[in-house]
Amino acid sequence: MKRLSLRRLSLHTRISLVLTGLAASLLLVLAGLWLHGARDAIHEEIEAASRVSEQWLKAMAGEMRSVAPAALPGRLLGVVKPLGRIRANALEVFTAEGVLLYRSPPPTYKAGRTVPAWFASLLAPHFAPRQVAVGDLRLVLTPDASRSIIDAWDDLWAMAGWALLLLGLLFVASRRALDRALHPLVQVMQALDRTGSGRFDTRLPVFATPELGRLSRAFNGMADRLVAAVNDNVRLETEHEVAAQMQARLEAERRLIARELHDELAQGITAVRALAGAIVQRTEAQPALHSHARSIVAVTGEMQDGVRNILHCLRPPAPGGLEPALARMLAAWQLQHEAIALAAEVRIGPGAVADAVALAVLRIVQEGLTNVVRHAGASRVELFIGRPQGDWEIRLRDNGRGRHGQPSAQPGSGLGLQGMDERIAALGGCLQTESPAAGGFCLLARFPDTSPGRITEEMS
Amino acid sequence: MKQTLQGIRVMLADDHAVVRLGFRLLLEGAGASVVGECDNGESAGHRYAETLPDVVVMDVSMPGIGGLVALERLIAWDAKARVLMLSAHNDDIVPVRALRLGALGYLCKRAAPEEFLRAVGQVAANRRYLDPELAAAVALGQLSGSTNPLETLSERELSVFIKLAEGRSVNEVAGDFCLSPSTVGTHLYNIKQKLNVQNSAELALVAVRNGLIEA
Repeated sequence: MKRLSLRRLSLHTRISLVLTGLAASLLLVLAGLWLHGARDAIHEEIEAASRVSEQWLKAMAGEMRSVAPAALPGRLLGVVKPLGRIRANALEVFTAEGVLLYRSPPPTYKAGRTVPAWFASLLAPHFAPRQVAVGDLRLVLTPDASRSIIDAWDDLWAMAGWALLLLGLLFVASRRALDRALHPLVQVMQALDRTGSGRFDTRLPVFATPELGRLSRAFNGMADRLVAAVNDNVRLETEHEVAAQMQARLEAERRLIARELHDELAQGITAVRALAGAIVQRTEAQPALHSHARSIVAVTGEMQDGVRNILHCLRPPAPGGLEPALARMLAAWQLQHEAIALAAEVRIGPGAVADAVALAVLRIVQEGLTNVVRHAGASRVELFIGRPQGDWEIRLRDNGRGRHGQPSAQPGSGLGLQGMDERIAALGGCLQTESPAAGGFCLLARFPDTSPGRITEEMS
Repeated sequence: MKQTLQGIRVMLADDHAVVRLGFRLLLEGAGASVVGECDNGESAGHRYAETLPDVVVMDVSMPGIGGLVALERLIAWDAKARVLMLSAHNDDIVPVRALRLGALGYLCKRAAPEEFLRAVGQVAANRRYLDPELAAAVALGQLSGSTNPLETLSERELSVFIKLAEGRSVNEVAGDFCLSPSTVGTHLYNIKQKLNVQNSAELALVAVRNGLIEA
């Protein structure tokens, strides 16, 4: 309980208490030293006093030697009685028979006062009573340190009072000094609280105290970096969002174009084709017209193939998951381009694939293969698609003309490398291309897996 | 252009008037006569009943109930009706559906004029016809036991699915098919269960991907 309550005290109070405690123990040591000194002083004082008194009594005894024995007690008492106590010594006069003739009165100085027994025994010197013989009479001199001890006791109390006052002042003063010296800590704590609650603009003044100055510089530096990191994050997120929106708009645009192509152009071509076919039927007797009409039928067929190819590129991938869609696309590509050997390794593995990711994979592969056909002049293409170490990786390597064969950043019709780069950036990944000295072109796309299954896995 | 369709009476159902015109000229050039034309699925039944043609040439995608439902109604009315379905799409699901529903032939609209006339001739002769370009895909799709969830939809559910995917509401679809809205609601529920989709946006996406509608 006590420890708990101590802990609850503020740092200032605790340091002040420690300081005050140190001062108190110092004072206690000083008090001990003082007591020791006082004891010696009392000893010396009493010793000296009783010795002087004894000598004086002896001198008086010498004077009294001439006095008749019968008159001696009278003379002696006449001399001794007015004296009372002789310098803190009690005096007793005994006859030869041991009868007490006289005893000095009790001390009048601080009469009736006593000190605690322990204190008296601590300071009181031990002296044997001194005896002086005057004729038949015996004078007994008993040293009495009780008054000196009372003085010492009183002094001790007075000093203790001052010491307490001093300690109190010391406590208050040190606490105030600490309060003032540690005041910046309050600011530091407030700043930490504010920063903790998300207000990263909080900064500390540079304090005069070197250590606190360093603290505030460190804090400000940390806050600066925090702001920079947050800004970076916001910027990245914004870029990401913009890129994703661009991709979404691009897809929407593609769908719109696909619909226009399909609904208007394709139907129109069908109509033209049918009409041209009808003309062919009716113009067998007019060779000039007939062959032109046949040409129109043939051209419309090519136009339909063209529209179909464009639609194929524009449409979102077919159903049944990424793997079958990829397989279909690769098979179709291989069919169309028999001169190029395609070695594809698809390792998607189990687990769901997000729609956006699937679409991106298909588009990247599609664009990459289109580039190979258009620019590379390659006879062999190696393709790897998979997610080793959790991230998606698409690697496309051909043995064609290398970088010179690749499209510029703004290709005529397709998305080109830049479009691919934007698509990958929207997924938070990056696109690398390299043209090895040995020839050919290598394209490496990496982006994190944002598929639903993957995220659940990570969360569980 | 040696196909002779002499004396064959054809009805055309297509929402594109110029396409109908082209087909009509083609057919007439080959000796057939176009006895009726219509531009939506609803009126196809009436025109058929009025004209009783030898062959019906019908586009799969038309406004209203669309070609597939019109086909279903037509076959329900006359099981012997010879129908050649035309489609601008070249997926492998709709052809199988159409043939199962009772169409005799299925042809892509992009086919050459000769191919069109041959298809009409085949269907007129009560022979099955499938576009050579689609035949491989259809056969493979059947062989591989495709996991496409659309296969699990019943014919009616597929029709409702296409309409809903086109963005029509449950009540509108109920009106199109002369069904009660609660029946369409039940279909919708089953479709969502079978396709594992949550909302109409996902529904539309599935349809677009399968080439059933244009996005």
